[in-house]
Amino acid sequence: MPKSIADNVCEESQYKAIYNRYAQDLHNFLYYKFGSNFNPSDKVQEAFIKLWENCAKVAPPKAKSYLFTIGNNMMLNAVKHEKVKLNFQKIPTQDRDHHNPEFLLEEKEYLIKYQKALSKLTEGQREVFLMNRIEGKRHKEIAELLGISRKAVEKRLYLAIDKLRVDIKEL
Amino acid sequence: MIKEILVSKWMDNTLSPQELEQFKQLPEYGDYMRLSDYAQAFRAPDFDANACFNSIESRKNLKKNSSKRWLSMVAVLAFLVAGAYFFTQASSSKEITTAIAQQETITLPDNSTVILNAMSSLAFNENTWDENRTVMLDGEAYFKVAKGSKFTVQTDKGTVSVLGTQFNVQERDKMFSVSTFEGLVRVETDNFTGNIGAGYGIFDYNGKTIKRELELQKTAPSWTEKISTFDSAPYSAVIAEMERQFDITIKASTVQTNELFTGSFTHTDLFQALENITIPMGLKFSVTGKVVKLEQE
Repeated sequence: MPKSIADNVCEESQYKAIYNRYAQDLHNFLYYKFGSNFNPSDKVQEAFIKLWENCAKVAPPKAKSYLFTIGNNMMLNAVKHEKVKLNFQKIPTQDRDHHNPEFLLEEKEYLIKYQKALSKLTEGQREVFLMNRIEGKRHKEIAELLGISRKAVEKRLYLAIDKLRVDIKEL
Repeated sequence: MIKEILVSKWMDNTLSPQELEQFKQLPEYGDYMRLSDYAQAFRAPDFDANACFNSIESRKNLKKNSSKRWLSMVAVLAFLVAGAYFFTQASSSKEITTAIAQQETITLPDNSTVILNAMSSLAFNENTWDENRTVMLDGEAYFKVAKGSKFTVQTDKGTVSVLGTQFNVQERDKMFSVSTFEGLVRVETDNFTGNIGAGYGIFDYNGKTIKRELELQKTAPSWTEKISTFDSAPYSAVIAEMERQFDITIKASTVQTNELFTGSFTHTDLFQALENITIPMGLKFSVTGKVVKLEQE
């Protein structure tokens, strides 16, 4: 870890660097965890404003977990046990037959089942699974972002993918 | 067990070529690959990092400007105080002004606190504070006065004085009102002189004074918690308060603004606030930029 220039994040350059490093990750984390009913971009903004207001009290190495905690709490306040739903869009396909209506219908059905199965995962399982599969983040990276152990990430990932497989079969 | 290890390694991209072959032999291999391929369909929506950063910056600057204004005021004060040392006993008067949608908490030299509502100003003399606890108020403020000598709030419409208590003074346009939350307050205006005990308030509008009870269990005016509350207030006063709490202009030329309004609105959500003040009056509103038009439904 490089030595910090300032002891806090009130320094503009330091603040901007933290933003560039974590804003996107925070945004996607909030989306994967809480779904598309809420605007994660607003919460990113709120979390960074909070960080700015308390910049004198937060040391740069602590900024990441500060932001993730604040973002998470803000979401929790907004969510209040609503069912998590993630929107899906068409994914670009090269080797698949676009024009076969039967295939397209089957694909759509699969995605609807996938969507339902995702909402049945625990928040912890869903966030690591989507960060891993969509963002291509390695176990170690996810562990650092979420402040959990590498082993915990591994465990959650395996439980997630296996649960999805079983749930989709049963749906 | 071997399955779990293979899946974990696959998900971390650390399978060796031999392990990859083993992984492909798993009966679940096809399902896993399909799950993995289709996960892309659930990708998070695009995040416009620059736009988000810009709005953070503008919100930060808003806060910084107000503290800068404060700093320059301190500088002017320091100059005045320094001047006083060399020349006369010139008094150093301090004035705090709030803008639209801004509230400021001020600590006076004796640790009394004042919360100043939007578009208000408070002035007091720091030098003579020990002998004379007097502040000049234009607008609305909530006072928590430390025990001690007489504390006086002077406004254009009247004077309020106390020994140590919590009270709210509002002096806006034709309206003057005082609410006492603790202790006893003496109020003197052109058409009213008397004491207001805890749990009571007076409301003076256009020369008529009414004394009335406050809502039960209130310990501070609701505007200190970002809600403006009205009890039989003329609608024009509600509109004026709305313009102070949000950076908007309200056009209500076709609306009866002398009707009385009882209710409240929030300071945190313009749309909700507009609903709060229009629905009970059977009005509708339309927003164009910073101009809000109110009309009969």
